[in-house]
Formats: sequence, C-alpha cells, structure tokens
Amino acid sequence: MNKEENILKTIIEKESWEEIIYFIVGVENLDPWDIDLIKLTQGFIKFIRSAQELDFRIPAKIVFVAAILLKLKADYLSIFEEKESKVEETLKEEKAFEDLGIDPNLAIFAHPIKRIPKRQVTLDELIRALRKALEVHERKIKRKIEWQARLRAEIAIEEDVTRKIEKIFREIEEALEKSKREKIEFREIVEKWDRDSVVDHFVPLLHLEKDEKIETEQPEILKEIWISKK
Amino acid sequence: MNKKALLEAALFVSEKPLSLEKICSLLNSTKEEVKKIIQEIQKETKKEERGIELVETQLGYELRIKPEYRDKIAPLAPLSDLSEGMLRTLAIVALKQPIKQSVIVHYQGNKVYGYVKSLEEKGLIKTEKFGRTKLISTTQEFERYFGKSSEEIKSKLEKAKIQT
Repeated sequence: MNKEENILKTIIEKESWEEIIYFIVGVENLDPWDIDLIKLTQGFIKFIRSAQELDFRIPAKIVFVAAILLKLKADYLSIFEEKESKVEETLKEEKAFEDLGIDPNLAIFAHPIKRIPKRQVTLDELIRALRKALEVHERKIKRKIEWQARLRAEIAIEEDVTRKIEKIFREIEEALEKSKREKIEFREIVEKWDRDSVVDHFVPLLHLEKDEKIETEQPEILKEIWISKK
Repeated sequence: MNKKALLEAALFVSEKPLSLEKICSLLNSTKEEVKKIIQEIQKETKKEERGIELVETQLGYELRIKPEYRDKIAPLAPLSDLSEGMLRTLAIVALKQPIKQSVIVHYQGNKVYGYVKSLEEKGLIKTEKFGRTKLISTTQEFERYFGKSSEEIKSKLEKAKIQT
C-alpha cells in the first residue's frame, strides 16, 4: 500500500479532519510536501467507484484534507518564491545601475520612463465642480426635508395607534357591560370579519394586554380568544 | 552629464513635485547651483513659445502646463492633480471665502477635513484658527495656478452659481 492509499484509508476511518491531519503529520510523520495530491484524488475516485454504499461525510473530509494539504504546499511555495525574487530583484537592480554608470538616485525615476501625465485643473472644471457640489448639497437638503416629513408621518401613525388602542378598550368595556359577562369573545368586538379588520383589532389587543388593562386567553390554538378586564 | 537636462528629465517624469534637497542629491550639486539651474529653466519656459512652466510650490518644484493652454490639452490628459472632492472644496472656498471649515463640512461631509489638509499642503488655500473651526481662503498660489485673480475666478463662479 503506497503513501496516498494509506492516507485515503485514514480519511475513511477517522472521524474528523483534525484527526486526519494529526495522524498524517504527527503519527505517520509524513511531510505534507511529499503527498501526491493527484494520486490521492485518483485513489479517492477509485474508492467512490468501488463503494457499494457511500457515507457522504467521506467526500467532505477528503475535499477538506486535500484543500489543507494544497494550502500548505502553496504557502511553502510562495515563501520560497518571495525569498528568491527579492534577492534576485535587488541583485538585478544594483547591477543594472552600476553597469550603466547611473547614479542610484535615478532609481526612483526608473519606472515609468514616460509617466502618465497629471495635468492641472482648468477653470471650467472648477466651475463644474462647484455646480456639482451645489447640486449634491441641494439633494442632501431635499433628502433631509423628505426624511423629516416621513418622520412626522410616522409620529402621526404612532398617535393613531394610541387612539386606536383607547377606542378598542372602550369597545371592550361597552361589550362587557352589554353582555353582562366577565369574558367576551374577540369576535364580538370585530364588526366585519375580514383580514384588515381582524388585524386592526388584534394589534391594540396586544398593547392592552401588555399594558395590563385586559387579560386574554386562547384555550385552543387557532380557536377563539377570550377577553376580560383586569 | 548635463545637469540642466537631467533636472528637466527628472521634473518631466516625476509624478510629485521635487524638493530642493531631492534635486540637490540627484544632481550632486549645492543648493545655490541648483537654484541657478532652476532659474535658467524658468527663464526659458517663460517665453511665449513654451507651453510649460517650472513652478515652485509648497511641495517643491514641478513642471506645469501654462494655464492658457490647459483647456486645449485637457482631453489628452484625463487625470488631474486634484481629486473631484478636493476640487469641489476648492470651488466652495473660492466662491465663499473667507469661509468656515464647518460650513464646507455642511456641504460635503466629513471628508472635507482631508481635502482641506491636502489643498493646504499644495498651497492653494490657507487656514487660520477661528474658534473651534478654521477660516479658509485661497492663496496667491491659487491665483498663479489658475492664471487669474481670485476676484476674476469668484465672479465666474458666481455666474455659474446663478445659472445652476
């Protein structure tokens, strides 16, 4: 059994991916660099084909372990390349300037020989910028006014809700008095049994319950709600 | 190596203004010698047949397109040395100077603090403490930059404001 087949066996047997990595690096003492990911993947494909029943945790584990091994390799490669390129670049730079007999101070001008020119702005552009600034400012003011209007509307809605709660409370009191019972049904205070009307009456009911002005109970889910005064 | 030619090449290629110290080290010359060379280039570029000028700013020396040719060459060089935000701040200052920094913040938001700093570094505006804020106005460098007096610029901006 080769190295990759061994790892595949470990992946199938072990529970978590941490255990697998620990087993590969710690117990088996394998260098992740030496693991051939192509062989490992091919072995896995072979296993999948031969398996009668597949535990779906296995593919997840193998993808994870392969990804970690790939990352380890990539990290190793990037460190290696960085070191090499830095040294090479420095050597190249120094040599090129020395060879050409150019003052190292010129190095900052080495790239680009022709710069992308940045020109000074024109008066027309300054005027355009002013127009833009004023436009943006006006938009900002407009937005602020709109926002304030919306806020005022929301406050008005809030006031409406308070009035609505008081109205529903009065209706409950009247219905209780009229029926001469301790409890009334929710249905009794809703004149028209449609969605809007039910919601319109139900929301104030929740507020009244929260304010401890009334007590509600629903013995059975989705059945009648009974209302009594506290 | 011809020092004047070297300085001209350096100024041409440099993205930022070059300080006197930087030029001295590049040319391996004394400050006096460098200043003499700079004056020579300035004298030459002042001539009518030249389209560029060598200008000393707060940040150092730089080659600039002469203001009268900027409109014509603007389409060839889409990048300018002032960002859109900085330009808007400068326009507001030019129109309403002296103006409180807090007022510009009201127009453009908190980014103004950065724009004011950069514009001041470029020498286009000056600031003075005014209570908790700053009072901002344009400088002589601003006039030199646009090749017009502050009054002329202000009147053009006012016209544009009325049209808006």
